Amino acid sequence: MITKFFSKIVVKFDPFGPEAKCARSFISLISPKLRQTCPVDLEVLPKASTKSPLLKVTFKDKTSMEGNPAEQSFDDFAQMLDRHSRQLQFKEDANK
Amino acid sequence: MEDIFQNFPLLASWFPGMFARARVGILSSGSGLSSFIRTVASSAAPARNTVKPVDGRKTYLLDVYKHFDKSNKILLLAHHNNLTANDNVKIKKQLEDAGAEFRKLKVSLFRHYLRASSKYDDPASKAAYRYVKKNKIRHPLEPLLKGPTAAILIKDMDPAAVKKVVKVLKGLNERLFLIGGRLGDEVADVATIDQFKEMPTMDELRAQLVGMLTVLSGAGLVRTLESASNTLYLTLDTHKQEMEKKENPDEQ
Repeated sequence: MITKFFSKIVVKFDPFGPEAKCARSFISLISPKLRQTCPVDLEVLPKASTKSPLLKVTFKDKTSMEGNPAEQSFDDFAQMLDRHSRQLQFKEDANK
Repeated sequence: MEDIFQNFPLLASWFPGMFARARVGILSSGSGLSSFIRTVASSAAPARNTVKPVDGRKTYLLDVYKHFDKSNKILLLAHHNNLTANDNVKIKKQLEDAGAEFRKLKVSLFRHYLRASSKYDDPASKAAYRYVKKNKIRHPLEPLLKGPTAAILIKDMDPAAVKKVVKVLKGLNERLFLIGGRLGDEVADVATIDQFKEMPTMDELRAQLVGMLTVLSGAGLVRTLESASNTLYLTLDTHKQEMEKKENPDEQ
């Protein structure tokens, strides 16, 4: 997954729920270097919470994508985000 | 007879005919020197029948997890996220100051330990593996073991220590955050841990109870506790008097 163009990440998930795997493997890809430029808004939901799990990424060009990690797998997310990241990468290379 | 030949090989060479018998005797008594060493070793400590080598890394880790689990009342699980070496050292120090121990877990082994611990004393044993696999044992803490997980261990049921740990983790944001854990024997989620950390400690609660009893003892608590036995005594007493009346009606 290309994380270079992320500017903000919002993650809400219940660690006991089915969304835990996707959300946690997503968070674990945020490198210490990325942390300086990309704030992560994290909320760990309790079991009784009625809020739905959420994974939302804002890119550097201010487009944002979101999804429900309980319904989508991590691979789906990676594919969805990479599609846009690749476009940004292409633009960046063209402007060089 | 074979024993003699084992101990004195010279004797065997004097009696070539019997030497053959002696060799057979050694073989049949059970694979020679290695079995002898094993029996000596096992007489010191009972041999463990483990899936992985007894002195191997995985067996060692399972033993360590067992030790941690048994010797700590509170086990909090946290997601750790690409910690740098500096972070690691700093966090370890901060948590130690808060009265807790920090340890990253090998998730698959910890999961096996949790599964096996419900029945078997030795989680590394072959029997435990077979039992877990056959009965599809699952543990309520298992959903928390999906990704990089660390354990924060606290010896006693001490809400103050939990409060300190939560405070330390709050500053670390998404680098290390609580996802749940075990308080005593109960599986706890984030909300339960939040509630627990605000509770007074066990000693404080006991002191409160004692204080309440001493204050209230003058005001009828003792009387209420006694009332049941008092009424029983009184009813029995009246019954006794009636019996006496029936037995000796002449006296009255």
